[in-house]
Amino acid sequence: MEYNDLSSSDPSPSRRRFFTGVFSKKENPFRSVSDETVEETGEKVQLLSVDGYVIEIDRGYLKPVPDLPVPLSLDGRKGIDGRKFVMVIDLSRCKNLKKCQTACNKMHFVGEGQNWIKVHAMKESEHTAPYWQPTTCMHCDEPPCVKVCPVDATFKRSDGVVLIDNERCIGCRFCMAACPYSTRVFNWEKPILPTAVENSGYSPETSCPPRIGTVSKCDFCPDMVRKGELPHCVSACPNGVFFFGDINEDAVTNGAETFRFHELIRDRAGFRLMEDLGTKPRVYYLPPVNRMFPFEEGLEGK
Amino acid sequence: MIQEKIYQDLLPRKFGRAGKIWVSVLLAICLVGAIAYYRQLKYGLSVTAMRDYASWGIYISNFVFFVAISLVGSLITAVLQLAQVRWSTPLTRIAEIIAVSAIIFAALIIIVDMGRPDRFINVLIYGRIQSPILWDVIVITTYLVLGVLLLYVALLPDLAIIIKHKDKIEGWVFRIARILGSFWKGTPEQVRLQQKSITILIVTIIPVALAIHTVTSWLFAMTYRPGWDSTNFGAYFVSGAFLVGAAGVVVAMYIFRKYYSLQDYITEDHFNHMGKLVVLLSLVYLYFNINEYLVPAFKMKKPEEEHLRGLFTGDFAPLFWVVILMGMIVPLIVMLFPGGRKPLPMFIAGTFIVVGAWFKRFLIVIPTLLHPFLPMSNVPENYRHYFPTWEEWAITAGSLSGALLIVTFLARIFPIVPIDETVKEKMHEEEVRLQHDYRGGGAAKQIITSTPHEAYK
Amino acid sequence: MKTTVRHSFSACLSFSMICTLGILMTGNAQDKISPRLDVAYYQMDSAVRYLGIKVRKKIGKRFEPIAGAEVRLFMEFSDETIQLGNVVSSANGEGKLPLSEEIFTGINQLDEYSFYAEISETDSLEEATEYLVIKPSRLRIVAEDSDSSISVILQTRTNGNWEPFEGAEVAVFIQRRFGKILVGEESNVTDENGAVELTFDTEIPGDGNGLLTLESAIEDNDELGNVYATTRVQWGLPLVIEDGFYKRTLWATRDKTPWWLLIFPNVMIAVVWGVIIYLIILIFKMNALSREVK
Repeated sequence: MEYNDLSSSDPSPSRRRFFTGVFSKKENPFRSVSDETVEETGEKVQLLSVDGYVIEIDRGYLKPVPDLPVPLSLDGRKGIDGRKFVMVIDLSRCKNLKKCQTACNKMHFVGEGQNWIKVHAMKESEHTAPYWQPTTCMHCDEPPCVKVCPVDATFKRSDGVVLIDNERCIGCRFCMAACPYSTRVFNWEKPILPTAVENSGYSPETSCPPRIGTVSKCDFCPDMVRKGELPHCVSACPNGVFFFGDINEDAVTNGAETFRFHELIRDRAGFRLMEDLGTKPRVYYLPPVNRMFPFEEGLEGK
Repeated sequence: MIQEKIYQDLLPRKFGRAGKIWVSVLLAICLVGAIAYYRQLKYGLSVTAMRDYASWGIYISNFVFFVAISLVGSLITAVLQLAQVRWSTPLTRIAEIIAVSAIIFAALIIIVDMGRPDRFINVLIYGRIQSPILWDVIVITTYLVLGVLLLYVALLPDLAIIIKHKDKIEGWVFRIARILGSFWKGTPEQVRLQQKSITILIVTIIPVALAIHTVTSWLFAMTYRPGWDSTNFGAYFVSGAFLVGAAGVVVAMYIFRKYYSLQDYITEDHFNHMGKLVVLLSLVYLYFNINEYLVPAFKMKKPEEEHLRGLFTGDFAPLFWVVILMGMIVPLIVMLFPGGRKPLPMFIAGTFIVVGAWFKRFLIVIPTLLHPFLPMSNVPENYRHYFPTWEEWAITAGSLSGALLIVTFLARIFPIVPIDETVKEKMHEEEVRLQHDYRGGGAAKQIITSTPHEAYK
Repeated sequence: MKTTVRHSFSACLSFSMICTLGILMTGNAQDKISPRLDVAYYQMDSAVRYLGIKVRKKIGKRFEPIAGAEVRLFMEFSDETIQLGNVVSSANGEGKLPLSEEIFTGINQLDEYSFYAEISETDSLEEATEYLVIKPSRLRIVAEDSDSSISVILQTRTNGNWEPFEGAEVAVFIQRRFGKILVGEESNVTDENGAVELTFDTEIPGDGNGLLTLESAIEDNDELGNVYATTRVQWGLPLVIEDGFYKRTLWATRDKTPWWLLIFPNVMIAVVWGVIIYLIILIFKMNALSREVK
């Protein structure tokens, strides 16, 4: 292209970027920006924090981050580059505490009884052992729900995540019928939301604000993941049941422990739910052997 | 002379007292349905009893029912005409009218079921051909257009007859006929083109009719769920559709015959023929039912087991067995006997089949949804069951009334029995009879036996 | 001596270390909460330093975070105390305050840094204080490509000079987006040269070029705090993303519809609608014929 317009002479890749602090992670804030080395520049900048403090810090601490809030509609359809997210749920650690559910419901404004994460009391047959099984959206690689959507309202991203565009969904509920894991819920009535959430723009990455007459489900918290943080269920579980990670990096973590994904699946005989259906879930389970808690403890729900 | 008599009998007539009451009742039901739909638009689908497990309810089963009954247009008109069946002629118009009105309400009821009807346009803007819903949208539209064309093209000569009898009908019916059919002069070339159109239509409408109900069955069969995950589903739905459609025609035949005194045109012989046809279709449907339930029941795979036990002995068992017995087996047995193929028993059996068919669709849609693969955990008690709310019943009843209103309206403005074809056939019969008499054959049969409409002249 | 370039940033500034989610505590004077305050020192690649705070309350046997507590942080010297800044704890009770390098420029001979944190008494919280004494340290990680060996060297300042530090527990990790994967043993203790030697003998995906970030970490050390050093090595397996995501599939977006699904239904639609159009033409023909009659 011969044209040279004004914007191409602008050295910054995006004018919509602005500076913000980089610290967001407990132990090592630079882990998520591993390809950058932060150095002091000696140049000071004064910043006004959102709660009114003037702070003086070195320019080296500043890092351009994409515009907040999280990507809206069309941008949210693109996956995070080079990633293939995966979850491992360790059935040997679950005792039906439902902290995952509580955290998830709170962060996504999930309606009463419409949990995105369910904890099933499973017992395959008379003489087999009962166990607790949390289910999220399986984010299938052959997603039956996406196949049947008439309007591309639910879609799969290159990073493996299956999301919903609530601003396009027509509420036909075919995806709910198609999902063998019964993971999808429908906003039968107008969701009760705080005003700030109600008025914010919809992002498929946050699945917020939910809209009446459309479908919602577990979204793997891509807004958190984009920030380098773990999904809410993962960080909320006190027993480390949920592991989240990137299969391209061959690593999953529950926040406290990190494993090589393939080693964890190999050594602990990981499996996926309803493999025979050919849906190829991105959520793996570790069988309930060598349990941390007896099943009965979960019945008390504490 | 015969001709004039036929005109007298078959031209559109004003409603009598019963007709007015009938229309008022239907309008009242539609109004209640409209109020319920207003509430649904206002408060969302929360006014229904549908929840996250039973995510489809009677709207969808009603939709399947409408699609099913609309197939009758192609059966009676297309299949029977292609097979050169002559006795079906007086029934073609009834069948076509039922088909058109049912398919219109199939389309409407699916919009009622949508959580966001305001976004219907998204189907056109963002439509994905991968989704069976889009196939359904395309095929329903196509079938509606073909159904209307078939109704219209076959109607042309009758419209000319209406126009010719301006003095015998009200102005507005005349005006509709004039707008639609004033160009029909019955010239040989026009007749040739009309016959050609009808032939093309009946050939085209058969695959489209099979497609419409097969695609509807695929809305279910394309999922993994027990009770739906069946390669048999398309044929099962189509056979069920033909049965309910034929039964619907039987019911309509009886009512029109009685109300319009069409005993000369819709004779006991027609009921006899339709009875035999319904027996055949019942047997085919029974065959597919056995296939659909016995095969999984023999294997009793775990997810199927819960679903089938729910139907055979569980919550849905009373409804299931009533539907199977009263909606299929008892009518079948009744119609096996010549006495059962008389108008009144046929009417009763036909009504059983139609009502049974409606509940059969309920039994296809809802129990499956209430038997998911994973247990229903962490949900309120009302998520585990489904019984429609008054709004759902009202909207459903309103849609059924609406379809009947369209049938009534079309029967009001158009001849319910095709006049032109009836005249031709009667003339032909007369000719044959005269020739027969001339050759000195058996005793002359009186074709037109009674004249109950002397007063009408 | 100092050059301070002032940048005025107006509103709209998001500063994640000072979290806005602060929920002001309410309560009566008699049931004030006695907060537990923790302060930790973090140092990245010998250059970037910050203090992390954690404010919690004890409920039964568990600790729960206190949000919105204002923590003032100071650095104490023999003759003076400098206020470093204030941090308000976030929803998870945590907060971070970066330490400007200029603080350390004048004190690069000190063998110890003394930090002091305090929460003033408020309507809902009781006063709390915490001290932290840290030994200045330098951590380096050196990777040798020829034999895939990793050396970690730790020095601390003693009497104003950098000396090797013996006996600190060091771990080496491969950084991942989420979590980090251990290389070698979980704990390696520095020898008299302040060094730890490791061999990298694992196959793990890196980025597209096989680049990995190795991190040596000293965590929760009583004397040193949390000290990290990183280096980049090309020891990973180059990541090749081969998946069917961009293929034409049934679940793809409509611009990636499988060919057969584009062709056959559209052919069928074209044929049937062709017939419909032909039929409409026939109706018009019949219409036209009526004029000839006259």
